[in-house]
Amino acid sequence: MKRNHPLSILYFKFNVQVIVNFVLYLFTLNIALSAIFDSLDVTMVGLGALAVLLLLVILIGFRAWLWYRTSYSYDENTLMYTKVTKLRVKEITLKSNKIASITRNQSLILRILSIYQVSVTTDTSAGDKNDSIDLFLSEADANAIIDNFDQEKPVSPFVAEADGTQSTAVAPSEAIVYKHTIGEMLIFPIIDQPNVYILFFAYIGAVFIWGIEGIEAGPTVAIIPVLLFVFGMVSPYINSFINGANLTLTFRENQDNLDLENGLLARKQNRFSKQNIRIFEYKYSRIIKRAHAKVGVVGTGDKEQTGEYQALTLYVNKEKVEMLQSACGFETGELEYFRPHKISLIYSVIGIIITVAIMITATALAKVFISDLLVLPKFIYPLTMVIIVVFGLFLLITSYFNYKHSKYFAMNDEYIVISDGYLNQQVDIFKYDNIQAFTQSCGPIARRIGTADLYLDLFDVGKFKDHSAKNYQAQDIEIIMEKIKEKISGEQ
Amino acid sequence: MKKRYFFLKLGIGLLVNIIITTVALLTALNFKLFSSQITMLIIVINILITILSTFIKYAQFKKYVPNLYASYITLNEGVLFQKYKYIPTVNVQSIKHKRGIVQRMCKLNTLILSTSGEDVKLTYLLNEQVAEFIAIKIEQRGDEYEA
Repeated sequence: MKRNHPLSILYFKFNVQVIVNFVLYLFTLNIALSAIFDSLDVTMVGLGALAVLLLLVILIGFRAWLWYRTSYSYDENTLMYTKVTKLRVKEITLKSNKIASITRNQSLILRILSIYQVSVTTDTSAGDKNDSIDLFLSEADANAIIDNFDQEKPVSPFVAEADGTQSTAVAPSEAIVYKHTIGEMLIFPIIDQPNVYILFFAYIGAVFIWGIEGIEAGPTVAIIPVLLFVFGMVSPYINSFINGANLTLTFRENQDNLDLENGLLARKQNRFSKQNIRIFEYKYSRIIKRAHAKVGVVGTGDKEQTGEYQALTLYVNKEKVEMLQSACGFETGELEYFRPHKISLIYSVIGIIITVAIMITATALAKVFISDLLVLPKFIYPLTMVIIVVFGLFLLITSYFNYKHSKYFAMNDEYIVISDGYLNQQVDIFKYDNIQAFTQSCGPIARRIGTADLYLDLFDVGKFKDHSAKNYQAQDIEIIMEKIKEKISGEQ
Repeated sequence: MKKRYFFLKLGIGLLVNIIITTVALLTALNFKLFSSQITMLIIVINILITILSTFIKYAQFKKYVPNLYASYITLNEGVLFQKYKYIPTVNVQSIKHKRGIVQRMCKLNTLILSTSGEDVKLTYLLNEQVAEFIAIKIEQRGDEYEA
């Protein structure tokens, strides 16, 4: 029987509730102490210090008792864990083949204490709620448990880093290491928050058009777009640096695991099994030639963030997307492509025409009703009309290119690919066993022209959406459905 | 049986609708919220909508065909927008079985099948269909555990 690292007693997870509780306990204790020491000459500061000290002693004493009663043991096939909470004893026996992932984290506080948090998470593929065992261990113990449950026994890069030795049990293929560059990290927010840039340039354009009137309105008006831009970018850049800095993804072609390490202040190390990777999605921007990729892994410990899935977010160029796709078990093999019916282009064109018509009508109405209230330069309305028409034409052209080059449904024996969008191309890749149910749908117009829609109901995966193939040839949808039926239930 | 259940359910719905509408309109008339002509107009419109929705519901009922097979479940529904849903039996994680008073009278059932995606509701299922499906599902699970 082993126990957590003794210093883990000092590790508290702070959140609002804990802080509020601490203050309430402190207040109550302070009142009790003032009543006890009423007759003695003790100052308020002294009482407060005594209350804090007492509370800390009680808390640490309680946590020390919990630490003493909590233990774990493991062999090659089983992990046993006994945890004592306030009133009950929880015993977990976990078979190694049910382990979905082992995560090694080190937050800033744990870093100071030289402790690693090892989270062992079960597979959720059976639809049950996943369960995670959290251990707080020294580096040697953490590495030992990670390597014990690593089914194919590859060399752990963590062990190799720690003691400079390599196991001779398996000869792993050469490690492929991917790291974010500073340039990529500066590009993250452009992919994540393109609206902020559009807003910024729209304001700059407005100030330019306004000319002297805009400047005469005072520097406050001119500074607003700059402030919006700065604040709009602060959060994405902080996110990008905190989560993307020091990111290292390591994988080997002949082995099942992917090792991911990231974090600027708190280091987070994850080991994922390729089998548990269910979805790979990326959004590729043709303008800046970069992609934002998300990997959906079933059964990881990051429940608060993404439910039963965890999305690993990576920012890469097109070549690295293919490399990652291959690393995640989606080998870039031959695909059978299906293109949408031309009615989908007609629907897009109708949608754009309606949008442009609404915008032009709104501008015309604004000219009639607002011109008395707000004096604007005369050229502003025709200019707005021209911008709307140009914007409409731009949408029409991109819709055509999307229909011609980017929009498709593709499949092979292993997985399905759905792509949509031209300038920002969204590509979703997922395995057949992700599909829970699927629906073919066709309305009266679709029946007349021989098209149909297909809706795929995937695992309820939080950050990942369900998928659909709309306005495809009915016979193509039939072929796709037959293939899916065959792959899911073996039905011919 | 299915037709009996459908018409019973529809009849009860219509009766409730007529009672509620009549009471509401009479109350409104009493408080002089509407004139008697407007009240009559609302009653006529309500009856027309009810008749139309009855026809649509009947058409939908005739198109509604759930099938339970060993390896998959299919569901055809919709009149204007026709839908064909396919659920592999292996993906069914839990089965909820519901029967109301009218359903018990007609020996019919509602099954709610939970998958890891969204839930699927199947109505108008005969008792023997449900029993057979649950037996198949239990057998499948048994095979999975043995494997």
